[in-house]
Amino acid sequence: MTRDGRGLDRMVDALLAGDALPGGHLDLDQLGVLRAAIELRAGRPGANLPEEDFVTGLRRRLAAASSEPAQTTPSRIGRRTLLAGAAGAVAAGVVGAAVDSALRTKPPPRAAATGEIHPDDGQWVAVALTGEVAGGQVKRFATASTVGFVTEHEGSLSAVSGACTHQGCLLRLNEAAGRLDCPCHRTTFGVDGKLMLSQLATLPAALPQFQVRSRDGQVEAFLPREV
Amino acid sequence: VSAWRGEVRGYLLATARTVLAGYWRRRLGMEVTTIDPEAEGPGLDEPDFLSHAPARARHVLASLPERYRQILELRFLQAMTLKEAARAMDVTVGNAKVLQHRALRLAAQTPGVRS
Repeated sequence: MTRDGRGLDRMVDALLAGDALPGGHLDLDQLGVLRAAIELRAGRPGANLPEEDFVTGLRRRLAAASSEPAQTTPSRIGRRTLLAGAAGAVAAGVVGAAVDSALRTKPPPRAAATGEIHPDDGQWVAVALTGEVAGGQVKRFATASTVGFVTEHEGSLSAVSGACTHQGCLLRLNEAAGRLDCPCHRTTFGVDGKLMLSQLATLPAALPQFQVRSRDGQVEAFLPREV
Repeated sequence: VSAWRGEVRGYLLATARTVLAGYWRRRLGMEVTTIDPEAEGPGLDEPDFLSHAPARARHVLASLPERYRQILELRFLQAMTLKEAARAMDVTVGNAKVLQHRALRLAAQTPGVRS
């Protein structure tokens, strides 16, 4: 290896180690090599996820930002709920949405908690026609704050959140198999919200449920109120 | 303060482009990587962090001869040290270093990487 190649080697070593890139001068060929190295390094699993320190810091700053307006316009969601939601959203890369909801002290669009969702400030929203879910059909619904799936099984209605409990990716309805598939990390939920299979080492929680009722030929779910 | 997701996304993208360009200017005096504002990102209904990087890396690796592909995969994707990679491939550390060097040169010639 020539003396000229040493700068490039040091850069590639730093890149692999995750260290700051040393300065230097590269010719055009070497530039191409560095680009190839960067491209490969970016393909490492998880390389596109934000660093833990960054997410934690952002969460703290969001907490500071959201505590001020909360005093003037009392928010009815607990701060913990808000932060949990914000952190989940940030982890999913939805930084914009998280900042947005924190600054307006509005319920997080994707609840991180599992179990039944009882919004403090909610409303009954029509999400499907009774006929659309009859006989176990599954219907996807989306409002400004919530995405979910509603269905009927042996006469009882149920609705689950449509965001994966791992990182908040929007689930896709696999009609043929009657289940909800996550496009991100090979994870599948039943339409009842129960985890069916997952490639993840730490299994994600079941999907949160919404309260549902039947009114005048429509299926209504109790969802966070929209602002 | 209120903004649409698209607006926030545009703002973050513009910021990232400027920061990246400034970084390369200071560091090497030339732009090594850029963010194309026209590049197709995930749609509004898709998970934002779906990355095309793993697929691009696989594409580059698939075009290389076996030994070259192996050394790059161990070093870049599996984060092995040179020593570990050398052991896994049953070669000396010096050999592994040369392999990596040549493999990267070849990878740089692969179409799709240069743009």
